[in-house]
Amino acid sequence: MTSPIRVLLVDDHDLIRQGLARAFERSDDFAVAGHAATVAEGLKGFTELAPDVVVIDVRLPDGTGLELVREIRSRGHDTGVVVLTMYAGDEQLFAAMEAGASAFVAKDAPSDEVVAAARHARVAPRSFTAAALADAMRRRMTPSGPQLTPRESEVLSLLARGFSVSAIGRSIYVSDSTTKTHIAKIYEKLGAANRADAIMKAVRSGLLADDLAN
Amino acid sequence: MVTPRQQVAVAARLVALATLLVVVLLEPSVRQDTASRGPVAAVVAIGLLSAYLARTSGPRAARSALATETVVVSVATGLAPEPAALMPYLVVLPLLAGLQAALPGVAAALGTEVVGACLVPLLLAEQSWPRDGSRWLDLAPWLGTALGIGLLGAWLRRRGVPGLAEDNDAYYESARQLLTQLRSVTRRLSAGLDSQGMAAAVLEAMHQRLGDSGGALFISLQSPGLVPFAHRGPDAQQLLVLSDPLVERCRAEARAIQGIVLEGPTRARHRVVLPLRVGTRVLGVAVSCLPQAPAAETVTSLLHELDEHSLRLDAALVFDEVRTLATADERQRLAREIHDGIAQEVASLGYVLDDLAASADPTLARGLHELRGELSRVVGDLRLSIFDLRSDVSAANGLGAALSDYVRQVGARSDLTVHLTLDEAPSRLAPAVEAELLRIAQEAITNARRHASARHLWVDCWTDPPRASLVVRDDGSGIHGRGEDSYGIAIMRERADRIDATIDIVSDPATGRPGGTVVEVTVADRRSRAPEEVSAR
Repeated sequence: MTSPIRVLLVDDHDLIRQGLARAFERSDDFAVAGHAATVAEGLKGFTELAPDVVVIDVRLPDGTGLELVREIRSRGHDTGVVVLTMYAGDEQLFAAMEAGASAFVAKDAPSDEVVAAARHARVAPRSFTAAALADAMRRRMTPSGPQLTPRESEVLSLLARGFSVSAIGRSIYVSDSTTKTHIAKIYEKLGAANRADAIMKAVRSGLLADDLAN
Repeated sequence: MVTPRQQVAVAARLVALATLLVVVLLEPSVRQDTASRGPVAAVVAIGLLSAYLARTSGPRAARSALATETVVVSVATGLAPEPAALMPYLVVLPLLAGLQAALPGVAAALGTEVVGACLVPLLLAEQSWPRDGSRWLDLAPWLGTALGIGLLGAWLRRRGVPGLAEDNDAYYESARQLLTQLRSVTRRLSAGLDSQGMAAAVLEAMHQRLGDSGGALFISLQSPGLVPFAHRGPDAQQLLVLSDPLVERCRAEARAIQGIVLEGPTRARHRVVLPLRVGTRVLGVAVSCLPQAPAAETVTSLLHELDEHSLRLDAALVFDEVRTLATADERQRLAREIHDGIAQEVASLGYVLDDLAASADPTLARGLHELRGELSRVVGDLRLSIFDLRSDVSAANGLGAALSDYVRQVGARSDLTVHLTLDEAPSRLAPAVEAELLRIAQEAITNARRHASARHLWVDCWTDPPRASLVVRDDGSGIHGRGEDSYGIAIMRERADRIDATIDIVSDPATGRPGGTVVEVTVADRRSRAPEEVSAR
């Protein structure tokens, strides 16, 4: 029989650590090597106990769990790191990934998920897994930022057809300064620097599909 | 930084030393008395040293320096055969002691002076103490004055003259006094501290005096430049132009500016721009539009009337700001408390349930599994509440930025797809309006997600300061069965009231679409209607 996977639990809440400890002890292939409540204790525990997997809460009294993740990653390449957090937004997920975590689990997930993540982290510490990873990636690829207003879409399509500022103003019956405001807002929403850039980005995100078909 | 109290400590000593030198130079009996030279030199030395310490060191060092100085000066005065030059210094010490340590300080300083200047020489050097008691007569008026000045110092300290009290506490002390005043004043104010209402009163006063057809009001907030704040009358639209040279001149010169503005090829209208002054500061400007020029005396008397209004408006704006700051702090604190407290505890309960379910028989395990699902949902809700509490508008982050940030996060943390449309003018709304609109949007979005089980949500935000509108629409099951007085709706109405906005909440709107709720908030629209309607309010 192989020796059990040794886990270090880092969270400042006793009840959370106890709950997780019971979950790990239920499965035969795990053993809880130690507990820590702060970044400093976590680092000490990591050095002294040399665990196979460390489960880390993002918010700790003396710093962020991500600091601890980075520190552990810089010292040992084959230690699995599971990031556990109450803030489970896309930003936190990507931050954990960039810090070098092997898995990311929200605190509302059942403890079995934490155990499964720890098992994954043991096997493939340098990879990254999270329940919401696919959705988060999809959202990152297609930003659903603010959409153009009907008037802005109109101005955009006139811009794409090569109209000048005053020509656009005349065709939608507004002053030059209003037209310029519309154009500035379109640039801002598309993250564009100039007209050519704005049209490129608009085409890429499908905003000018109707105009191109005509 | 040199605090006012340090300045007083240095200045008082320098004045006393200067008096001492003048007396020494002018009075031959003192100048020629060799036995007094030692005590005078000691006083000058300790005076200069204490002045230097008072300026450079902290309150504790200044306190012990003053105690030592009092002992040295008192004993020197007692031992000097010709003490006239040193006596003025006795007056300064209780003043400084009073400022430093109130009445106990004054008592200690005076006690030291009496012991040092009277009793010590009596015991030590009887020969230098004149038998005829003239020394008593010399000392008594100085000690009396010292007592008076000391009490004055203690009184100044108690009154909390800014900077004179204990250095670090001075600002707290004045803040406390102002807040205490604010508390009693707000109870007495008939009109309360409602900035929107005060702005409307300014425009109304201008309408009464000038009979104008429209007016607008701009406020200078911390951000550079003016912010459109309120307007009334059908012609107000053309007045809400920030780049108006008349407005800029009025703000720069703090006086009434008048001008003719052409409207089309045939019409011209008179424009009066009045500064809203508080002391020497220009709080904002009010613009009025009328058919012909008003009489000069009307403008002058109106300007005086506006000064009164300006003070009230300024007070209301400061109050708004304090409230916004206090609320923002409280929200951050609540977020921390939920995150560190109840959210973690509920999450750990979830782990307990997982443990029970693992060892339970299949029927019980199924029930526990369902309960676990509910618990996870509660934790998810708490997580979103924490996020609600943390998102805010700020100087750098306008309403549009805060909304799109919020909406993106909600999209990431729930099954709701949010479609946001922003149409923002380049200038910002008043901070209180931005904050309340963001909170209303959050409440509406939370309701749609939590109670209406909506899949899609459309948020349209349009701003053209001081006007704005916010529409939140969902495709959920509507709010029937939940009374109008249900919690979220009551809060949204309250928030809309606070910024004088109208709010319409329609469930099952007659758009032909099944279900869904529409929340529509409109800010400052009614004042652009005809003036009759405004005065009828």
